[in-house]
Amino acid sequence: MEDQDAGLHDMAAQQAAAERFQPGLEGPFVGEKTPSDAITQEYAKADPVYVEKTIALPQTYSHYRQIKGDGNCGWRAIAFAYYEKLIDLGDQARIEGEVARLMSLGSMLSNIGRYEYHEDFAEEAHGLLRDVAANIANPGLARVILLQRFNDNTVEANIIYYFRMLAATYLKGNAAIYDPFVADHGGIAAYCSQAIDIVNREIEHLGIVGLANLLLKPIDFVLEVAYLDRSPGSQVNRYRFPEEANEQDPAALGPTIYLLYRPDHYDILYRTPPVQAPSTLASNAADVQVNRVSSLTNNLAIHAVPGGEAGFPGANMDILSMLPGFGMNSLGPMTSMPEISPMTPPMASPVDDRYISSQQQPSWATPFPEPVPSQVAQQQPPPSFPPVVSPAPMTPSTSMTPSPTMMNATSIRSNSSSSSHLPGLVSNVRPADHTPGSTTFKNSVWNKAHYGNPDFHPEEYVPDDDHSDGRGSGRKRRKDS
Amino acid sequence: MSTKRITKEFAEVSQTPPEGFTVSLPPNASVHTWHITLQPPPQSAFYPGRFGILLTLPTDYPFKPPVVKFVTRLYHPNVTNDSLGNVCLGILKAENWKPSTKIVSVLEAVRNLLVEPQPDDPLEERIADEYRNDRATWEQKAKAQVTKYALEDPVFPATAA
Repeated sequence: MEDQDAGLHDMAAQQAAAERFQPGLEGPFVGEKTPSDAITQEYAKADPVYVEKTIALPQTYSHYRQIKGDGNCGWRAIAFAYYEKLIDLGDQARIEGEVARLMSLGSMLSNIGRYEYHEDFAEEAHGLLRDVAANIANPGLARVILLQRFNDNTVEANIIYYFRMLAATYLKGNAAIYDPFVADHGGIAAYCSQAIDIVNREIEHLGIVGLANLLLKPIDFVLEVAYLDRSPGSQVNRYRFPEEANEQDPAALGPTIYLLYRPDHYDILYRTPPVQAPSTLASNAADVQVNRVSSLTNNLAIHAVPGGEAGFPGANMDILSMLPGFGMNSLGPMTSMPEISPMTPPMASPVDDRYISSQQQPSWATPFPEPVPSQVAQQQPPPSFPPVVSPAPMTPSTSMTPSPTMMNATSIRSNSSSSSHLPGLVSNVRPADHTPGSTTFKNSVWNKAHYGNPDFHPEEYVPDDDHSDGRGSGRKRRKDS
Repeated sequence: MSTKRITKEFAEVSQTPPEGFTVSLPPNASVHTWHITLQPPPQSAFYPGRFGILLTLPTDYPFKPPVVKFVTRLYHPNVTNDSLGNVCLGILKAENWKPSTKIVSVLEAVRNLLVEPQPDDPLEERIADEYRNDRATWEQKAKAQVTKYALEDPVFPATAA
């Protein structure tokens, strides 16, 4: 069974990655593509509005990609997705056309944007387009190049700044339209100077508008942002850029970039292929949840995961890595890191690089019955790195990705309690134990302790827990017993 | 990457320096350290002093701001009155810095600071108070320090290459 093989191979690769793993404080700027029910798990411990919306999320968006939340995430997400979408389309002439088009914007950046040193920033952005175009015959390689560049801080800083300049230039060129929106800043030029030109300043609505109009609209790209916020409703709210795309028939829209917005943070989303029948989707989503939980409890449990979930092990590690760093930026107190580091290594990027390099894309989607043309490629042995790929820039610190999402007291607390508790999970839970009961799943209907679960069984109070370890962690212990 | 831009900027600044400035690279050092001499315009209390300024460009310039230090002492609300010569300049603060800002603009901001101190954003509280409340005394002391420290060619510290 091919999937089984792929899964086993994946395990071996993860094992190897685990041995090479060195804990790092910095997560990658752009993470790996991950099944998006990781978001559901992450939010299952949040308040009910989020929980409801996130449970629905994986049904629409099968995968997501975590973006580092250093104040550039919105810019970074759009920039990365722009390149990635061009690779998806696989049209070399089109990408080269983009180089020409962007170069032609140079004088606009000087004359309207009033940027004098834009060439250096632009060069990096154009260079990446050229390199992607040159390797488009091998999309896997093109993706590796893309991911590498975006995780090289000198390169990505230039590219992001270039995108900032593009957005600001568009806004300045249409000052008459946008001045009234930023009257309190003193006009659009002042707004750009205060809110776009400064590094690590997060993108705002106008920045997205600028990029959508100057970068995306001319090539018929659409940007759709799913807002995961506290607004009422059981689904995320969606808004498309450019504005007119909101009125158009979704089926008639051009290539669409999907972003997930959570307060102060953007990640990239990948929509489930529309060919899915809704019922199939739902049942698959259910499988996903159950399997994931089982392997979440223990590294070894991955062996017990039924074949066919080739994409899961990496994703599971990703979840683990989210537990400790959740909400913490790179500089957060990482004292607990060494303790949990043995858990997280399988997520280390070399594994994933390899798969990407061998046309990995479809393999992530194996839980969904979509065409998987690259089964053979999946089985390539680990040393199949393309020559261009030097694993070094893709630091193993990937695995420590502190989920740079919501900075709030809850997340910080969950950081301390969950990280201190992980070893307990490892030692106590049997691989075959499919009881979904980790903290992350507490409020999910997949949890047997949730009244909505068909196998509902109430939690039992175990007095020992309460004085074992302060707040919150008692819940987890309960499950272990 | 940044070296290319720095080289470009240095070429521009050294060929057509902003008024009052001379710029050079220290011998055997990288382009990340500039030796700058500033003679402020006559309307400045610091005229006719010549002030040495050490401009250091971080490795991740232009994404991090240049560091500007006076090597010549001066009696100024926004410059520490010591051998460090730290400068408080709005556009150089990390939260305000724009990678698109040219070094020329930084130099012009420094010159403006010598013409018009910013006592509301001081590094030397006492000098700022004096500047606000007793301008004559401040000017007298500033002139005295110009005479004492700033009439010779500035001496730059030896830079590690």
